[in-house]
Amino acid sequence: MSNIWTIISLSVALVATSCRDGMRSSVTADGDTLQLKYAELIEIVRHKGYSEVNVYDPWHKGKMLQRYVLVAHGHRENEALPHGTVVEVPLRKVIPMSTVHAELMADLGCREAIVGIADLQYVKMPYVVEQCKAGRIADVGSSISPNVEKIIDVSPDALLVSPFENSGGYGRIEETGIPFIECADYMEATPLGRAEWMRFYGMLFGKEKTADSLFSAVDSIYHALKSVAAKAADRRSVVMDKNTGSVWYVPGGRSTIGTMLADAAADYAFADESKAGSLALPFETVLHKAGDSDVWLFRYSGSSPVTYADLLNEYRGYGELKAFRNRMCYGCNVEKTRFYEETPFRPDYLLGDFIRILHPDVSLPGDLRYFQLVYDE
Amino acid sequence: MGRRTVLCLCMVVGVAALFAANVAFGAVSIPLHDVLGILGGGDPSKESWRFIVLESRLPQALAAILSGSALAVGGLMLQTAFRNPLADPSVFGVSSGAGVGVALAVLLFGGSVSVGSLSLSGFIAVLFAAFVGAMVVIVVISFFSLMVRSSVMLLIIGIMIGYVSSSMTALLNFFATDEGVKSYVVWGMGNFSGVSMRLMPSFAIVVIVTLFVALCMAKPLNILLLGDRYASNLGVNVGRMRTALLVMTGILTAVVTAFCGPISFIGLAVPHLSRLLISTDDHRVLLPATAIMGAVVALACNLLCVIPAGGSIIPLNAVTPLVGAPVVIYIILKSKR
Repeated sequence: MSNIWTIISLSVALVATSCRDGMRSSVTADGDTLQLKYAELIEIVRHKGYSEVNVYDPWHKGKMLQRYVLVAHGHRENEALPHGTVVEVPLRKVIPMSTVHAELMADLGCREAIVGIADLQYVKMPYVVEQCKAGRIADVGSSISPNVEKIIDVSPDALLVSPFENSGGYGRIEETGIPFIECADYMEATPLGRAEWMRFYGMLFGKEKTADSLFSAVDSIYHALKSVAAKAADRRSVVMDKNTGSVWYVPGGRSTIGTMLADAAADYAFADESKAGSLALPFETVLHKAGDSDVWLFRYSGSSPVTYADLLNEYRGYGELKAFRNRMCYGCNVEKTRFYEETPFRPDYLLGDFIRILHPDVSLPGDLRYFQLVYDE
Repeated sequence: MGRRTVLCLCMVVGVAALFAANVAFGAVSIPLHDVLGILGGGDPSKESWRFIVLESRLPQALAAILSGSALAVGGLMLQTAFRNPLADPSVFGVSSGAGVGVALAVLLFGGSVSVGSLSLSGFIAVLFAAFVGAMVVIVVISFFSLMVRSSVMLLIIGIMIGYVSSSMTALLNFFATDEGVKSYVVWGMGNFSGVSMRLMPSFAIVVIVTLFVALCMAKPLNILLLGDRYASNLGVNVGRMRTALLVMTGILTAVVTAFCGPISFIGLAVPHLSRLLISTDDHRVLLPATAIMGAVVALACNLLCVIPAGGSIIPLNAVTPLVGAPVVIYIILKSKR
């Protein structure tokens, strides 16, 4: 136990030092490029009087999705500004179209800038729910097809949207002239790559230092946990998720979950599958390749904790899994936890859960955050 | 031995061969001697193979036979009753009704349905909701069939009910979670793996009994081919006959859709395939031939779903149009000529 704490403390100190190094920038005649350690879809260059942020197209290599030109309020008329979407920072009124970015805004200490929110029915942040009830935050409807009138009514400085491949644009809202911040963070190949986008969001909200320190902490904890997992002697094999109808969507080896399982030094049957997304497999393939896994981790949505009887009722084949027979199943109820809200920018939380479950010899402080052991009743 | 008898025998052999292939081949490669050993009650080289063969592939192949026959016979009866070559079990909105039931269960109630003290969840909830949704549409259509005499008008009412059901589903999808929409979309792709061995007896009894009753209606169906007036003159109560056909087709579609999801094209294309092969409109031959042909097509489609290498699968409704669409195009071209 004390060894682990020594490793974590040393790693935190080491990585914090290297982070400071990582947050250094290289100054050239073309500007001062901020060195990002993991994010591959974003480039930040500081110039005198403005910052240029290039967001690359995740679906078409070499193409640019958006160029943002961040200027201080009142400086948008500067003639030297390059071509791009001019955004006056810090943003004071923002509509995050996903609860993930609303959660990050709260973490950065700028939740007061939220003036509208989409998909309110899935928002778990008490602050946003209360402010919506009081009418201080507008419910702009669905994130896919938001209510344009409500958006115009609150006149935000910017909208935080998640871009989709071939989405066909954002319709009438594009004509309003409100800047769109395309949050392509979810398309990053690695968990830390996604989390590093918080440094860009920090620049948008005038919380650059807060974002840099938060990311440094996430980075250092993540690496400390990874090195603890790599040294663990006892490793359990794992199978992830469960049937959706007749298909079992298994995270590929290069997906976010696949990468995190590798970082947790897990013995994962589909680790060699090079797919960045999920594999659509029939139950018989999963049973054949991963049926003997020691642990079964799955995410589900329900009003009450799932039981073994519920699982059998859902699909009798689950009873054939070794983890099921040995009662080594862990469920993450996404309704009752903040799995989807927190893990994109706090991958260290999820890595902690994986290590606690998959390495019984490792004793980390704290309890499981998202996954819980399934009980018989 | 006549040509038709030979063709029917060939189809029966085809069913047997495809059934064996469905049990022998799947996403996981299992040696043939192990498959035979498992079927004979022996011990396989790997224990999980027993479940794959006996609890996954075997019920799936049986479900394909029963569902294919049910949908094909349902399609044939509707095409005859409404004298419309493009009528199929989905045209009256029965599949859409099942879809609304599933959408309510999955998207609105989060995968669990409570009726009084009975609480259902998971697959059973989906099954129950689909069946109730389909039966509601059958009751509504049967009610209209008593009021509306024209077959064309009744078809239009059926299509309208389908539209109303689709609009309800669209609304539920719009407000649903990502996971809910995904579950619903996967259900809508159809698959024969929904009938487990535990549920097989009830599924089989309903389908076989309804198919038997349908086969007994071959003579009245032949009379209907002569037209409503001739049929009435020959003593057939056309209205009652039509309602009976609707109820039977509805039950077959409701049961199949509830267990396997909406399966496209089999009900539409297989009756035409049978007519092309058998070259007769006599329902005493056509009905059993269509039932067997439905089983052949469903088994072939199920086998094609596991063709992708690497243990993966493709959805059933991505395969059935490959069989159905060319047949429908051929019929359109033939009728133009």
